Amino acid sequence: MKKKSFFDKYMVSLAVIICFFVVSAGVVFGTHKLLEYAALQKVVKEKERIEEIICGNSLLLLKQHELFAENGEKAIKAAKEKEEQEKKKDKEKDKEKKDGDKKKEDNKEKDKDNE
Amino acid sequence: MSDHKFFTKKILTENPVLVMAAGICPAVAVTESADSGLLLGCGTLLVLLLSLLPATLMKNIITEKAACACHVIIIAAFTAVIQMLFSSWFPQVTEEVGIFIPLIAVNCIVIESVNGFARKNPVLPAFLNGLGTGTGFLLVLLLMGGIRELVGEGTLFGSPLFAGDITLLPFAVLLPGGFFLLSLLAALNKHINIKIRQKEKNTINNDREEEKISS
Repeated sequence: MKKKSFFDKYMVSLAVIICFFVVSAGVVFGTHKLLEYAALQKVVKEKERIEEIICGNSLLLLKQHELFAENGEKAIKAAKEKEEQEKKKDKEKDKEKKDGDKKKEDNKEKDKDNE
Repeated sequence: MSDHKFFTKKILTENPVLVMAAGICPAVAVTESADSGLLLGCGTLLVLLLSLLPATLMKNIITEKAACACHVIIIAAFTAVIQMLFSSWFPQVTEEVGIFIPLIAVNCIVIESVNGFARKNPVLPAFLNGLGTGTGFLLVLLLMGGIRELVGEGTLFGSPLFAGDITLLPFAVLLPGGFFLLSLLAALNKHINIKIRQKEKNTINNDREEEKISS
């Protein structure tokens, strides 16, 4: 009877072991990739969340800036109006002063004439 | 033997740690806190159950010569999977447990259940036996971790139980404390087992006497 070679003796067992090894390696690799994907998704979501917060903050800043600009314009207008009013008041005062001086001079002249 | 007894006997009468003295190394080294004990126990239970499924379902495919190697490959693969999952879900506790998570692959409790019992028994008893073994191991780790943390640091699962920094026995957290507690638990378990056996004997004797009287 012919003696069985090492390969014939252990072929099936080796094939089974190799199959299990490959499947197990696949399971481990698959889990690793899955976890990697989950971690990546988590990072992406976190990034999106941060970006949303930054966008929201930027919009708020922009609105605040617009409000400041509007308020500034209003303040400038108000200041100009106030300045004009003050000028008007000053002019009126000058006029009144001039009229008062004229009256005084007229009175003086009248007094002189009377004398 | 009814199927559920495969599960129950592994928790008390044939507990892997307290009766069979298997897996003592992780039981003493890891149980400094309840959460690390719980994590290692859950890891071992999961690896055991996951490995039992292919080992029992593909019993006919796996040849006698290739069985040991195939089972070791299956256990190692699931250990790697569990380690990856744990380190992404509970990174801090996994770091605390350290090398003992990968060492589940060579835990004699797991290898004996998968390569020993599951190879010679049908699917359901093998699964129940694995479930019982894993649960027994988990319970012992949880109990030891809880007691050591409570006595040694005055906390349970990281949260303090007593007002102020009260530690009853700091020795409990050290390795000798672990061995001391393990021996106490083993003694308690033996005492309970003796009581259970006595009860069983008494019931058997009572049944026999009743049979004699009736006959």
